Amino acid sequence: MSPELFAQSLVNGVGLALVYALVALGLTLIFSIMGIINFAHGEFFMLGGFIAYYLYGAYGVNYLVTLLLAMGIVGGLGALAERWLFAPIRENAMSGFVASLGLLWVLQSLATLAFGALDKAVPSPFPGVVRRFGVILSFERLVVIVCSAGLIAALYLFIQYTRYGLALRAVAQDGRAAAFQGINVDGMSTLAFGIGTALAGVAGVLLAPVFFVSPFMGSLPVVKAFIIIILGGMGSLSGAVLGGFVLGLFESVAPIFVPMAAVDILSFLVVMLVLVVRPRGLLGRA
Amino acid sequence: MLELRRVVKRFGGVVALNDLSMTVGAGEIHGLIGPNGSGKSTVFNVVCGVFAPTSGAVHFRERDITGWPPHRVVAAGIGRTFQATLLFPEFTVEENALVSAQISAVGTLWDAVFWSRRYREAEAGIRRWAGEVLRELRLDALRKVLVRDLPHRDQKAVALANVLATGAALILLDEPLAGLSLQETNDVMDTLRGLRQRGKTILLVEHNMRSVMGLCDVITVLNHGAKIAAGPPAVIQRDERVIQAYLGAEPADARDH
Amino acid sequence: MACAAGVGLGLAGAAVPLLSRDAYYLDVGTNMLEALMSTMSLQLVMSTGQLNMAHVSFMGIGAYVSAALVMTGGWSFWIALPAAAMVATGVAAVVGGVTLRLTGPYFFLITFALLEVVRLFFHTFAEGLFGGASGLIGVPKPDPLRGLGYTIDFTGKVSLYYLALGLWALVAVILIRLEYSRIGLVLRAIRQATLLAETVGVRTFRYMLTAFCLASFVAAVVGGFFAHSRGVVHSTNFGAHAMLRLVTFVIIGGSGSVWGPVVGTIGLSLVSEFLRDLGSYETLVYGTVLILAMRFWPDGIVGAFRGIRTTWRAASSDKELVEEPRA
Repeated sequence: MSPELFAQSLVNGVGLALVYALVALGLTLIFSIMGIINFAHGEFFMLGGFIAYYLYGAYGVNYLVTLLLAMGIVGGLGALAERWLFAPIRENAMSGFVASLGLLWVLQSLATLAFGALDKAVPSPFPGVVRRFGVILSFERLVVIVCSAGLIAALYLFIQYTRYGLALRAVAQDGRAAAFQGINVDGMSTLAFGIGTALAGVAGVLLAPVFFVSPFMGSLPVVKAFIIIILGGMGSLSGAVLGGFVLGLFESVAPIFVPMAAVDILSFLVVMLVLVVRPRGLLGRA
Repeated sequence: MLELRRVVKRFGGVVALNDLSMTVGAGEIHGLIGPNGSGKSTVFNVVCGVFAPTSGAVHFRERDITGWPPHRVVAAGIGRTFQATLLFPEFTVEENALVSAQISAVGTLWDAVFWSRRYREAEAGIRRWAGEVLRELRLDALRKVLVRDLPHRDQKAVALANVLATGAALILLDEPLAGLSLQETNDVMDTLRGLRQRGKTILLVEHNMRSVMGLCDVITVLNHGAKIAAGPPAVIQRDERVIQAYLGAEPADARDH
Repeated sequence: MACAAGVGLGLAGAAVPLLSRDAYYLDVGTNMLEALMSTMSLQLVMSTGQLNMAHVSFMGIGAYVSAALVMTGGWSFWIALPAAAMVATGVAAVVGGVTLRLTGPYFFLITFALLEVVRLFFHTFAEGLFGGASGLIGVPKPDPLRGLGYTIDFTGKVSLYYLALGLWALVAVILIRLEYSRIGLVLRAIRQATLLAETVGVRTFRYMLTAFCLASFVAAVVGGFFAHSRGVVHSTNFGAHAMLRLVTFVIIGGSGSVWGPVVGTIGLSLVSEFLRDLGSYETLVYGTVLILAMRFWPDGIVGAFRGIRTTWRAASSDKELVEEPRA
């Protein structure tokens, strides 16, 4: 096995890791504020993909503008879903999960009915590749890396240094205490859901040109996102990023040594192990 | 009946119980008082097996029960209530008592499925026993009422019924008088005296000083996880250290109800 | 009353093949019986407050092991099926022992991971035994039963239907009995207030593990029947989609009682039969119903019904409170 192959795998892994991290970040943000496991998260990713397909692919809207629009549209839908569906049933954890399951089915079937079940290709906005040290990196992938990293950094700054970020962190630690401090907990939940789903939507736009767009494209990323947040620690943002890297790199490098199916089984077995031995994951709170 | 020997309980850096030794005699109503944070709840939790002590021992009826898990402690004859009245919210009063009365039941899954003789007899026995407990506490008329529809004082009574239904000989009560009116407080105190008369031993945590002094045979006072005084109410009331400890506490503790 | 309902259902079920020998109706009926057994056993675990996402995995174990024992081992179906169920229960005991210490979302997640592990395992390994990615085909029907001069042959749909009905009747009797026994009471108590249950001496872990193992046993039996009646087994039969379908049936019917899955399964199975040819519309309807149910009736149909009944009862017992002198 050559160093080039290894390096190529690593490079491929980084791009994937960052996008997975974006999805996972959204999921863990929602969990940390609302305690809800949003099963439908992958469908917001899928919506982003379709926005890319139509706005950018069909109507020729500028790619970066499409990115921003996707954030707004998907985030807005997420906020709506939170307001109408998740907020009123907050106390019952199982209800929240089941409701998100229902939402998953509704979104997926609506997309299938509206757009058709077949895979669709989205043209690459940045054709061409870069070659260095025997490793190939497409501009597409490079843009994905840069945008994801940028968004993650922006989220970090938002959480750490803005008033809203502080409020979010307060609610994540102790919702009731935060309410007594005058923080609008309901509003924060909506904000968290909106941001979380917006991130998933952006990830969808970013990955649309790399893979195909279909109503079912959200299933895989959401499972990966769950694995990531369990590894990294549910509710922990830095854990989501770390977990994203761990999984992304593992999935890129392991197939060199082990058959692909075994890689998947291994991922899930590790998840089970983590949940039994250290449920808070790598960086989660005890 | 119950003895704590040099019990220490640490939570990380915080020492909740500091070399505490205390004794509860059989058949007495024993009060456990002290300013907030003095370790009273921790005593309950350690006795009941919610946590094991960091060091030291707990003896019940001459047996070492240190570190026993909750269900074993209950089986040995110690029951407790919680500050926040814990009940099975979707059940009726009767169903609550039935669950607690299970503890004396024999029979396995198969007995239940095939409705064997053993099961039916055990079932009848449990129902009888639960009924008795409810009658004792005058909850009989409310048998079929959902506990969440009950007023606060009745909910506390159901919580007590739950404990009694386990057949506990030693009952730990966590603030049994909290949130009750004067009349209701007197009613509960009468109930507790009645239990003492039937041979139960009671250890209670309370902030209502007047009631504690009027009800308890013996009082142990805690401060910062250690015992600072123990004895009958008359002695405790005059004890310098006790008064000192409370001067720093909330006025509510010394307020007459 | 419960007895009457159960017997009524049983009789109704027995009458179906008498009304129609059409293969289509028999298939629907058999599928529904399988789904009933699966959801009723799933509800047993859910009554303790745990959502077991790996329930179908035990079906899968029952299916694959039984098929392998018959096809590769040459065993008779009537021995292979119980044996496979025992294997599944053994796995459940080990898995449950480890995972039931977790609660809430963590238990849900770990069983979800297990779901994928088991599915992928049967999909990838031991192709000789389990068929690998293309699945197992040609699983034989149950061997004929001989006795008392009669032979019951299981090559036809009618006899398979009655076999399913018989299995269901057995399962239903057990689960309904449990629901109304003090064991059912304790299980529901565990879900409502686990700490309190511990405090009154209930060995909650033991109860949860027993429920988990019993449910898995039933699931494995269903899985075995599934394999031998259809003749084909594929790992996708035991994946997330199948599991989520079961969860939906239970939740919509009401997860608080054994009747919830009965109502939910029968109701939604019939609905999905009508929507069978409409593909995505079926999923859309399921999803919408779920959302509406969670938003407005989180306790499911049975729960809502009981809620109404309890409100009536409470209203009438209020009178008692007023008249009875309070001590």
